[in-house]
Amino acid sequence: MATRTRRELLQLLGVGGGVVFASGLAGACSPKTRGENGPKDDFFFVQLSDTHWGFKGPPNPDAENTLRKAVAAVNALPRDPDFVVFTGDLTHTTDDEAERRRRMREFQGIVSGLRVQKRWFMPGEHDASLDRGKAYEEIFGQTHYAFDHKGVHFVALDNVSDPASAVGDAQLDWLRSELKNVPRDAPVVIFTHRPLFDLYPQWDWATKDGSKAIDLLQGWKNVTVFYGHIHQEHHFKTGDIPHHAAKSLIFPLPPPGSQPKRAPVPWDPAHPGRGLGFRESAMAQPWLLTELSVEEGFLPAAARSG
Amino acid sequence: MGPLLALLLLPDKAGTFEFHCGVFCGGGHEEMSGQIAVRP
Repeated sequence: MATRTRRELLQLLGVGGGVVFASGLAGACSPKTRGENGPKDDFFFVQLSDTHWGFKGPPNPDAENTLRKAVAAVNALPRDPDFVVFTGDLTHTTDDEAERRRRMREFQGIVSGLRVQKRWFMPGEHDASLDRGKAYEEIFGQTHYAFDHKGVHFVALDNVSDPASAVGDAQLDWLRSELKNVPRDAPVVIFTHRPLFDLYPQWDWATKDGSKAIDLLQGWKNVTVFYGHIHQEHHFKTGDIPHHAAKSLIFPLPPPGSQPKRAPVPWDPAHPGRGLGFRESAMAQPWLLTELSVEEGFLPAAARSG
Repeated sequence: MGPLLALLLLPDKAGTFEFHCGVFCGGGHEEMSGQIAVRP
């Protein structure tokens, strides 16, 4: 997988600033690479993840402001994304059912300030595992769904409403039926919260029956998975399917298995916001990812063809 | 503090084994891990 710094990519493209779009890459979205059933137009979306609204603690002394800063940063992008997707853990868990709903509504109020035409949401285990998605469904709607956008088929898979971290046979049947009429060469994007593959099951960084979903997706030639949960950028391939984890907007977690406990990376006052950020994903084959970091004031840190 | 639960298991070898909570149980779930000591 090729990784270039933002500066190198801009030099390569011969532009001096602004956001890098897939349409700027020669051939990246040409009809030849798109196929008959490929995307009809170039676009990008923004992935935000693991905002954990309601969290308070030393791992992020700026927790009251981080989400608002991210909203302002998305609104300040040189070009508006076609949509924004939140890949789970919108709120931090609480046993208090009224408080859970209050956090969800507060979150909803803050992100309503995003200047985008469409916001897609999905739950994380912090939102949905204690009540099997009841509060989430009341406020945000379905926990799994599908939609089409400019020739790309998007599917949000719920691997959190079951507290045992399974997608479940019923949803797998729905996925099979949902994909039945999607052409085999059409671009397909899967949004999930947990990784579908066994990244590090000891830290709950896996989906119990995720391999069934991956096996099912093997029948399509151009599948990409975007997920959250692990609070860090991570890229991995199962067969031909790339899986991209996004940074969190509350606190970073250590690399998988790098220490005995899955404890948050301590807040560093010398580098506030280090490890936090969000991602732009521009339609290309493969998707062109640009990571934006809180620490650098949401300036693009790197672009990756992944 | 949450409820105390008893777990029945039949060990087939002695030793110390790590365990991690496999069902999301609320705040602090991430720290729900420990060791089971099986002594002959």
